[in-house]
Amino acid sequence: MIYRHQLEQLYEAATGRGAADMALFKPSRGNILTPQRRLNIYADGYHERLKAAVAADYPALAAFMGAEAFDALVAAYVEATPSRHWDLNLYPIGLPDLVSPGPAKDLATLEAAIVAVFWAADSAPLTTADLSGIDDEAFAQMGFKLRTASHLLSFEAAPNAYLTAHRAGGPAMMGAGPEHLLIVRHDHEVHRHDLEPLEYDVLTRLSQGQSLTDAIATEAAAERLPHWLGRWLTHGFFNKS
Amino acid sequence: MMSQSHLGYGLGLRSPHYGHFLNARPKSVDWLEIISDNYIRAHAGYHDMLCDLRTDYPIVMHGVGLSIGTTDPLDADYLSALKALADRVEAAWVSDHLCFTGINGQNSHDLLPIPYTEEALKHLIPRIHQVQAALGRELVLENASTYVEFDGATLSEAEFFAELHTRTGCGILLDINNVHVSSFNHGWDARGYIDAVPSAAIKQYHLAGHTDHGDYLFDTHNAPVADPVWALYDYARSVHGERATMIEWDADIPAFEVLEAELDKVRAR
Repeated sequence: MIYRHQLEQLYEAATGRGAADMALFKPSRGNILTPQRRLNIYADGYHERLKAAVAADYPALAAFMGAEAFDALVAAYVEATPSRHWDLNLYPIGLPDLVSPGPAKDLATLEAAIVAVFWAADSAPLTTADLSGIDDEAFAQMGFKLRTASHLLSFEAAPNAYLTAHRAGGPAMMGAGPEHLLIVRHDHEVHRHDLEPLEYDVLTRLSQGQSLTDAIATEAAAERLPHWLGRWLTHGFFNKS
Repeated sequence: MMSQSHLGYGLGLRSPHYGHFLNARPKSVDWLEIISDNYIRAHAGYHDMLCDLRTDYPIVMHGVGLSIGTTDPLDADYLSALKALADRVEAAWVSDHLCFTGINGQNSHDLLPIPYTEEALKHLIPRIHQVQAALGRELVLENASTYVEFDGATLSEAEFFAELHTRTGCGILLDINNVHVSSFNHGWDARGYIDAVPSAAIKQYHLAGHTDHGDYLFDTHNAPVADPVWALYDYARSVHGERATMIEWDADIPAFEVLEAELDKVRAR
């Protein structure tokens, strides 16, 4: 099929991934622009477009790494990562995979999670009213599923504090962690909730499908549960069903 | 009185102007065009906003992700989401581009040209029928700005559009700026292009700014409409008549008043 071959050749050249058979393209306008130069317009645009999409989602990481290192990271990501989805909004999410472990990776992971949560599917929140009429025994055996648009995160450094300072426009310094977070979209906004280490542990167990009784593994956790539960329900941590 | 398809003069709905449209509801804008791809995965807050704006403005959906020309299968999930959004906002029509954006599972997120051949027509015609069946409505296709042409084309771009319209009933979104840009880049006769497009197929005109790189023009949507594009727009209207017309401005987006003034120029012609 000639048509498919023509498209494949243009695609390879227009993304800068390979040389095209130049005989397929028309030397028009008296060769003022050679076919290769015409293809380069596409290839240059491809790299700039993908780099811009990635950079837009990692402003704090760019500030932390510095422009030169960040630009090199983004260029390496675009070079190594063809887009496989029609939605360009999802393309930047894989950037943390290219960052070495450490504070920069923590910050990249946090910013990627914010993007992923923003674009995740909608789900209705579980509310206090949904729990009315449930007796104690049934309540203890309940499972609680984290919102579809949420990410539970734990970091050795303190990227969330860094991001907060960066967004406030002040000097941002990467502090020591650990940090435990739930990123959740609720009422159409992405929220970053700092979690107590024990609370993070309980939410992790719940997200793995354990019942509330099994997830509350210690007396300390049981004591904190009433406080946590109020916050979890108020801020839409769980799916309604 | 404007016909149903001549909605008047519109603008692209872009995030810097959400607040103005929601709060001020400017009457200088007759209708809004949304980039479909920015909303079909967006959360319910955006859909609520669109339905709210729909009470004051007809909404036209314009996509960049259909990739009608690719040899990959059409994305059923994408089409389903597109239809759901079109139904929700009661879209006046749904458009995308005559192009391919990717192949073999990869995506360039660019509007890449296809060869204008009989083989391409045979490939596209059933796909357009498939899209129109999935959407339950006519598909409107726009001419993209292009920088390279395939050798061995047997039809001009305008003739290719005419064949697609005849054989599928699809509409045409005639982007006047793109006709100018591609004509400059390839040495086409821009007025001849306009003449060759079937009037009955034209649903909408696009106007936009571009960047002059000296030996080629680049479609950037970041500037006022250029004088030659205004002249070509006047010529298109003289040949085909009035159609719903909108200003595209997608980069370096200015204050709403700048876009409003540009739209006033359209209305005053």
